[in-house]
Amino acid sequence: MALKLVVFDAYGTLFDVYSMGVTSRSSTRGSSLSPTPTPGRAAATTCPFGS
Amino acid sequence: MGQYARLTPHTENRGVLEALKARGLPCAILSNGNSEMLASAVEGAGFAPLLDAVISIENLRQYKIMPITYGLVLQRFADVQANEVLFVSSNAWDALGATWFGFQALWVNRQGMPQETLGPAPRYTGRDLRAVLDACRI
Repeated sequence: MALKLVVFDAYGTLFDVYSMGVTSRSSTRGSSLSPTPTPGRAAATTCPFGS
Repeated sequence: MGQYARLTPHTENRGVLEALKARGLPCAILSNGNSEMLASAVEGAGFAPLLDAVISIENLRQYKIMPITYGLVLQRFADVQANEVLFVSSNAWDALGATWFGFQALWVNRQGMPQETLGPAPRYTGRDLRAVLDACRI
């Protein structure tokens, strides 16, 4: 199927949230805002908006 | 939270958006962020001329990966079918939610993270946003 539209997530995808330290990754530092990582599950990014 | 209004884009992103624009392929943002913060980030990055829509879920008060949030894209672009959308996210769970919704998804796996155990895998995976151009065959 031909593509007619490209949709981007914002935070972490178009905009760099890691280099400014405004968020953390649950696999490294943890956060009260982070989803709880489960074994075998990719650690989620922890943008407070989800993404 | 004010830092979210002053975020810088990843270095390759402008070139990717410009290539898509040159190809005539519409581009949009769908985000869990609110409209004001998204507008500030888009303006600050100089992306406004390269985007056809910036869609926030804030009025729904539901967040991705709720299907209704991805449905906002089809409300905004009524002539586009779900499987004609390439949804691009650096979050594996977001790419998965988009896949469940029926979008073609591209996971930008910048950190080399493991795949989600839930399936299906996104149709495309790349290390940075340039993978979008491969997916679009640009």
